[in-house]
Amino acid sequence: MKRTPQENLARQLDTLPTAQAPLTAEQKQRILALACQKAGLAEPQPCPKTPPAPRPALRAVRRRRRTALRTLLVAAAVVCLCTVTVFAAPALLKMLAGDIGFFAADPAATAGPLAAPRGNYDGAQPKLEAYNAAVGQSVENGGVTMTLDTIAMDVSGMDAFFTIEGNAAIQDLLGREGYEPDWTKLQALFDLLRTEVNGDETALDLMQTDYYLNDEGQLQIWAHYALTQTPQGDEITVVINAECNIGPDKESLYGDWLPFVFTVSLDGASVRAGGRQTAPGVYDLGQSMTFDPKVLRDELNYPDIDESYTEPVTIEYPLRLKHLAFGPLGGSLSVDMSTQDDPEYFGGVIAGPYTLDGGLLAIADDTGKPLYLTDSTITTPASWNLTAPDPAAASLTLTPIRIANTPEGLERRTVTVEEMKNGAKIEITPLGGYTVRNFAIEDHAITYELVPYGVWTGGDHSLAPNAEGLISLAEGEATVLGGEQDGETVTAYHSGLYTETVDGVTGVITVRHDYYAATRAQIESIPSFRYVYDGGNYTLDTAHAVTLPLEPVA
Amino acid sequence: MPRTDDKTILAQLSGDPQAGLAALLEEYGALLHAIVRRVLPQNPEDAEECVADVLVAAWRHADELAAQNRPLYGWLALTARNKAISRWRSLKRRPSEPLDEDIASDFMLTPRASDGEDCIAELVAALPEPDHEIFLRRYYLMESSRDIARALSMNEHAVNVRLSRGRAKLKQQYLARMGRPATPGKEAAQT
Repeated sequence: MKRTPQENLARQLDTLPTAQAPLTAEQKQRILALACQKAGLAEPQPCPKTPPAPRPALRAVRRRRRTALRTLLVAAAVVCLCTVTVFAAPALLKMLAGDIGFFAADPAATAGPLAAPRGNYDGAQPKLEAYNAAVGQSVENGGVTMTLDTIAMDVSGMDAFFTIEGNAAIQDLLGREGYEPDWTKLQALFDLLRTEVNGDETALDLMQTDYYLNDEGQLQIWAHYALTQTPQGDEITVVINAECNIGPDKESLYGDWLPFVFTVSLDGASVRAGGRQTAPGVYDLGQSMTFDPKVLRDELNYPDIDESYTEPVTIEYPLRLKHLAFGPLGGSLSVDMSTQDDPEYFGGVIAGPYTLDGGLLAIADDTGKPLYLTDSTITTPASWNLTAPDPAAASLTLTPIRIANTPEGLERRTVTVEEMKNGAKIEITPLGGYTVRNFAIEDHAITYELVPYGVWTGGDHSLAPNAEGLISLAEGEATVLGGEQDGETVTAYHSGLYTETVDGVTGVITVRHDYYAATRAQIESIPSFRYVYDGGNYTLDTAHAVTLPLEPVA
Repeated sequence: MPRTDDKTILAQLSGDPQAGLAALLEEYGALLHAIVRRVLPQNPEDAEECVADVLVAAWRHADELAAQNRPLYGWLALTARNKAISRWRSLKRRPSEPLDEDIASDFMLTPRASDGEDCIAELVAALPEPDHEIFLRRYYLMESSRDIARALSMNEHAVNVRLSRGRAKLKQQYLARMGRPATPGKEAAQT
C-alpha cells in the first residue's frame, strides 16, 4: 500500500534523535496509571520502595538497565516500574555563611581567562559567601561527574555552583579546531537552562554563567538565575535539569548530551528572610506606539504588509510587572512577556506582547538612590538584575523612558586608550552611562570594567576598538543567506569576540575583547575606542512615573 | 528497519497490554514527554495526560503498526506532537491557563484536515537541506531554535532566519496548491 506523505514524514523523523530527559519513577507511575485507565485496563501495582542507605552524602538516582527491565516485564505477571534510588532523606537546607570554592581562584593572580572567573564580583561574592547552603550532590553519567557544590536562593534569585569532572570530555572540547578562544569552547560542555521551583519551569530565568578550569582540571561553574516570582511554602523544591556533553563530536557541537538532574529542598523561611518586594500588576505608564502600515511597508522594508492595510494603529504598552524583589543576594525585576490575548495587526506583522520593556525604566528609591538594571548575557530579557535600594528605603519610583525614534542627536565619539586607563567617562545618553575602570591588556585580550552612573544606563554601551589595519585576522567559512549568493560558502574574516559578565549586585560590567589572531604587540598598538552617544532619543517621562511601596515578604 | 525492541513492544501491546504499555513508556516515555512539554511547558499535568493518550493510541493501532513493519519512533513523535497541539487548543479556550503563545500565530501549526496535513508534509519533504531538517525538528519534534542550532552546528539567528523565510515560502506554496487566494481577510478566517 502506498504510504501517505505524513507516513513518509514520520519515517524521516526516525533519523533525528532529539534531546530528552528521563522520566522520574513517579511520573512513569502516574502516566501508566492514566493510560491503563483510559484503555479500560487494570491499574499497575505500585513499586516497592528501596530503603535508604545510611550514607552521609546524597547519591545519584540510578536507573536499572533497559535490557534487564524488559526481561523483568516479559516474565512478570505484575507490572512494576522500578528505579534504584539510593539517597538519604535530605534535611531542608538553610542559607548560612560559608566560603564558596568557585571564588577561590583570584583573577589577578592567574594568567588567562580559563584559570579564574572572567568577571569581577566584588559586590556579589561577599553577599553569596554570607548566605548559601552547601549541597555536595553528585551525578555520574557517561564518564562525567557533575557535582552541585553550593546553592543560594533569596526572593530575587538563585545561584548554583557546580564542579564537572570529566577530563576526556573537557579535553575533547579544548582540542577542537577553531579560532575562538579556549574558554568559549567549554561553553559547549554544559547546559543549565532548565530548572523548576516547586514544579514551575518558568520560575527562574538564567541570567549568566561564569566558569574556569581549576588546578585539578575540573570545570568550576557559577550559574546565576533571576526569580520571576517569590517562592512559596515551608519547603521549596528546586530541580536543576542540567545536561552535559559527554562525547562532543569534533565536527559539531551536538555531541552526546546526557542528563544530570539535581533535586534540592530548601527551607522556605530561610529563603524569604529579609526579602522586600513591590506588588506585581499591570501599570499604565502612559507609553504607546503608533504603527503606520504604509511607512512600515514602503520605508521600513516590511513588504509582507498587504496594500489593503492603510490606517495606522496605536498600541498601548503598559508595564506588566511580574516580580520586583530584593533579598540578601541582590534584586531582580521580571516582566510578563506572554502575549496573552494581545491582538495582531497587519496580517500578523505587528504582534504582542504589548508590554513595556523592563529595560526602559529608570528606577530610584525614596532616598534618591538610583537602581541599575542589567540584563541576561544568555537569553532574551524578560528578567533583569537590579541593584538594591537603600536599607531605609520605603518605596521605589519607576519612571518610563520615552523613545523619540530620531537619528538627530546621535554622535560618534572616540576615547583614547590612555583616557580609558585613567577612568574615562563614557556618556551613553544624557541620563547616564559608565566610567571605565581597571583597563588591562592581556596576551590576546583587552579587559576593562564599566561602572554605572546617572539615573539610567540604557542604550548601547558597547565600545569598539579602532583596530582596522592594526591586527591580524582569523579566517573562517561562512554561508551567505539571501541575495544572489544565497547558500554559497565564502571566506569570512574575524577579528575577535566581545563578551560581558555582570555583577548584578553592583551593576558593574566586565568586558572582554578576545582577539583570535592578533599578537600582544598589535593589541597594544590600538590607540582608541569608539562608541555612540545618543543625545536625542531617550528622555525621562516623569509625568507617567509610578511609585510603588516596598513591603517585607511574608 | 524497525528495531527488535519495537517488534517486541508491539507484540506485547497486542498480547499483554499492561506490559506493553509499560514497555512502551519505558522505551519512549522520555521522547514523548519531551515533545509534549515543548508545546505545553507550563502544564505538566496536561502534558502527562497527553503522553498517556499517545500510549493508548499506540495500543489501539498496535496491530496495524506491526503489519506495516514500521519503526515506532517517528509515528510516536508525530502522534505526540498532534496530541499536544490539540490539547493546547483546548486549553486555549480556558482564559486562566498559561500557554506558549507562539503556537497560536504559527501558520505551520494551524489545524487542518488530513489533505492539508499531507500537503504540508510533501512541501516540507521537498525542502532542501538544512531547511528540511530544521523544519522537521521545529514543527514535528517541536524543538526550540536553540536546540536546533546546537544539533546542526548553526548559529541560532541563522536558524530563525531560515524558519522565517521557509514559513513564508511554504505558506505561499500551500495556499497555491490548496486553491485558496492569499488575501488578509481569508487568511485570518483560516487561522
